[in-house]
Parts: sequence; structure tokens; C-alpha cells
Amino acid sequence: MSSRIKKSPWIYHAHAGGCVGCDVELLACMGPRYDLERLGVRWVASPRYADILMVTGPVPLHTKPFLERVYAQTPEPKRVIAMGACGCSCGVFIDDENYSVAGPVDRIIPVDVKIPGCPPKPEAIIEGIIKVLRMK
Amino acid sequence: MQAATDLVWLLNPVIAFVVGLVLMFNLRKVFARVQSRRGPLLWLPDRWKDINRSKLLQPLYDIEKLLSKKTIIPHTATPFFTAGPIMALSFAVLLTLFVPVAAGGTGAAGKGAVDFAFSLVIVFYLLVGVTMSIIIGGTASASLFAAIGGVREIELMLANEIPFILGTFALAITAESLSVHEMMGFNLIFNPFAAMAVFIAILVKLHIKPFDIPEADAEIVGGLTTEYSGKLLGILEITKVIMLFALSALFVDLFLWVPLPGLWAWAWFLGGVLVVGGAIGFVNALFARFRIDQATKWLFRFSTLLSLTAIAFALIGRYGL
Ligand code: SF4
Repeated sequence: MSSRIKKSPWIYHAHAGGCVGCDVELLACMGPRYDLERLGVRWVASPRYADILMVTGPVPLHTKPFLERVYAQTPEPKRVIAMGACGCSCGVFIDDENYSVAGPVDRIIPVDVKIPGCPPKPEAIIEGIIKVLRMK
Repeated sequence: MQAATDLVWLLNPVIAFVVGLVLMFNLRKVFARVQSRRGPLLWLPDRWKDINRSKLLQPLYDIEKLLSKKTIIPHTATPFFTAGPIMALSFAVLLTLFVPVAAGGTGAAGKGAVDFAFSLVIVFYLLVGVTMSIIIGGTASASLFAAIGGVREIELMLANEIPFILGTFALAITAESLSVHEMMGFNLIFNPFAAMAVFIAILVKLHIKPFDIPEADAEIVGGLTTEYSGKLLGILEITKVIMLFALSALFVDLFLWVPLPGLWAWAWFLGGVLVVGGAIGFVNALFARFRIDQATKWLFRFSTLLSLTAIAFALIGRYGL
């Protein structure tokens, strides 16, 4: 089943809190220099079309139900990438006194691949996506 | 034997799908190249060989993947939600039977399509049928984005149908016939206004960039197709591929056609379709999106004027001043 995703990965970018640093790096991935479309990647606008969810940011309490819903709206088979230090571990937002953060992405939905970095370089993002594509 | 070759137009849907895939790839590639990107690679480097060897069939991979995915049907959706895409696909397949493919030979087999004395009218209805079924399916999902997309689609269709019909009727006046086969010829020279009007109408029908308002990804999340997923989305994707071919082929037949024998007809036809596909790709890459009011205003003014000029041109050419 995953071989189909491998050949045509459609990615939905779910922004869950965070500064917009990671999202700008994602745009760079689709630009002339790192062009992800070489691999057939397509950025889609609705989770219903998506195969891979790319989640950035430290999921605030307010965004948590929406992220869960986006995950449920993505048809099987699906994969999730948690991106940035925020996505992996809440990054700079982690703090015992931070009342508004629901936790890193893998505490809310199952995560397949994590891409660390604040923000990760486009090379790292491409590496992460390829890792997902190669997964069985 | 004679009967078998007469039925060669039954292959049209298959040809439409195969050539349509190439056109779709071409569209993505041109889009990427204009933005100085690479686009889907023809040969992947060695370290990526295990992922895929060539992306030439990328549209096919997309369709294959969508057909293998789970389909989610929202609980608000009515049965038309599933019927819509299937109806659209059947209209599109029927449409390919009426668009001549490489009509080089003589007799019924040489026409490359079913042909009646009024086949142009059937083509109009089938084209509207595809759009209407997508509207029905989309709005049946009860999604708000689909509702906005549906309204935009209808407005655009109303504004677009006049130039399209007038533009093709200009050819009908010249040929004194409503049969697509009899209108075929290199009409780009004889009636350039009609060619422009019809080309713009084709862009609108295919939702190419200045006119992709009904499915504007960035604002209304895909419009009518927002709620579709998995197999139903795959069917819509196949419909898109077939429509891309059918409309490019219609343009080649009506405006770029030179009667040639046998294989030359095929070469000319496929070359013409690729040229039209490339032109569509460039327009797609070079323009930004219209707002809906701008688009309808522009279509009502410029495009309608263009098609009226085409009609006047044809009338003068036919009956003299
Ligand atoms: S990981 Fe860094 S760049 Fe990315 S969202 Fe968090 S703070 Fe911003």
C-alpha cells in the first residue's frame, strides 16, 4: 500500500501554533532550488486529498481538537511528519508554566517521522519526506 | 471486417486517457519550468531510484493512488455526492466519442468519431453535462466551500457559454453545417477571432489559471471538490484528464486541422494536441487568478465581443457585404 504513496505523495501542511519559521522553510522546499515536485510531491489544500500530514508548531490547547479532526479527515493510508523543534518536543515553547500548550505532536496524533531543527533546513525536510516515502 | 473498422471510434476514450496523461504531465512540467523549477523529473538520480525511476507517468500514479485510498463520505452528503463524479466521468467519456481523433481516412472509419448532422450541439450538451454533474455532486456534500465554488462555477459557466457557442457557430456559418466533421479545417487563418474566443472558452472550461476561480486552492480549498477523497476524487481526476484531451483535440479539429492521409493525420493530430496543451500550460503558468466579478465582466465584454466579431466575420465571408 505504501508503494502508492511513494510514487505520488500529496502533502497537507497543518499549522498548529508556532512561529511561522518552519512554514517559510516549507515554502523554500517548493521553490526553484530545492523543488520537491521533482519527486512528484504536490501541496494540497484539503486534508481529504492528503497522504502525508506535515504538522508544524507546538499544538496549543486551542488547536488540539482541530488537529485531531484534520487527522481523522485524512483518508487511510496516511503518514504524519512532525516538523521543527516545536513539533518534536515543543521547542522554545516548553516551560512548566506554559498553560496554553497541549504538548508535542506525538502526544496528540501518531507520528511517523520527526524532523528536528528550529527551523529545519530544506535539506532536512526533504530527507524527512524521503524517509516517509521509503517506509514500508 | 468493414464493420470492425467502422467501430474504431470506440477506442476514443482510451486514446483520450493515454494522451490526456501526457498532456497533464506537460501542464505540470511547463508550470514548473516557467517558474525555473525542474518539475516532475524524467530520470531520477541513482540515489532516488528505489522511489521511482521516471515521473513521466506521474498523473497515472496520482490516479492509481487515489483509487486505492479509502473514501470518506461525509454524513451530511446525499446520494448525489457519489453519483456526481460517476455522471461526470460518463459524460466525459461520451464526449470523447464525438470529438474526431485523427480523422484522416474516408468513410465512417475515417471520421475518427461518431458524426451526425448536428453533432456540435451534442458536444455543447455533453460539455455542460460534465460541469453540471460536478456541481451537483459538489453541492450535495453540504460543504460551505463547495457551495461557494458551485456559485462561482455557475456564474462562470453562464458568462462563458455565450462566447463558446458563438465562436463555434461562426465556423458553422462558414461550413453551413452543424456537424463537427464538416467544420474541420485550418480555420485559425479563416477566422482568427473565433479561434481566440474558443481558446479562451476552453481555458475557462478547464479551470486554467486566470479562470481557476471555482476551485481556488488558496481561498476555498478546492471549491466543489473539497469534500471528495479517495476513489471519488480519483474518478474526478480521470474526468479532468479526459476533458483536457477532449477540449485540446476539439480545438485542433476545429482550428488547426489539415486533411492528411493515414499516419500523417495521426502525426499532425498528436502534434497539434501537444502544441495546444503547451499553450494551455503557458497560460496557466503566466497568469494570476481573476476575481469572480473581474472574470465575468471580462468574459461578458471582451470575449463576447470577440465572438460577435467572429460571427460578423463569418457572415461577411459567407454572404458578402
Ligand atoms: S521549530 Fe522554531 S521555527 Fe519552527 S515553529 Fe517552532 S519556533 Fe518556529
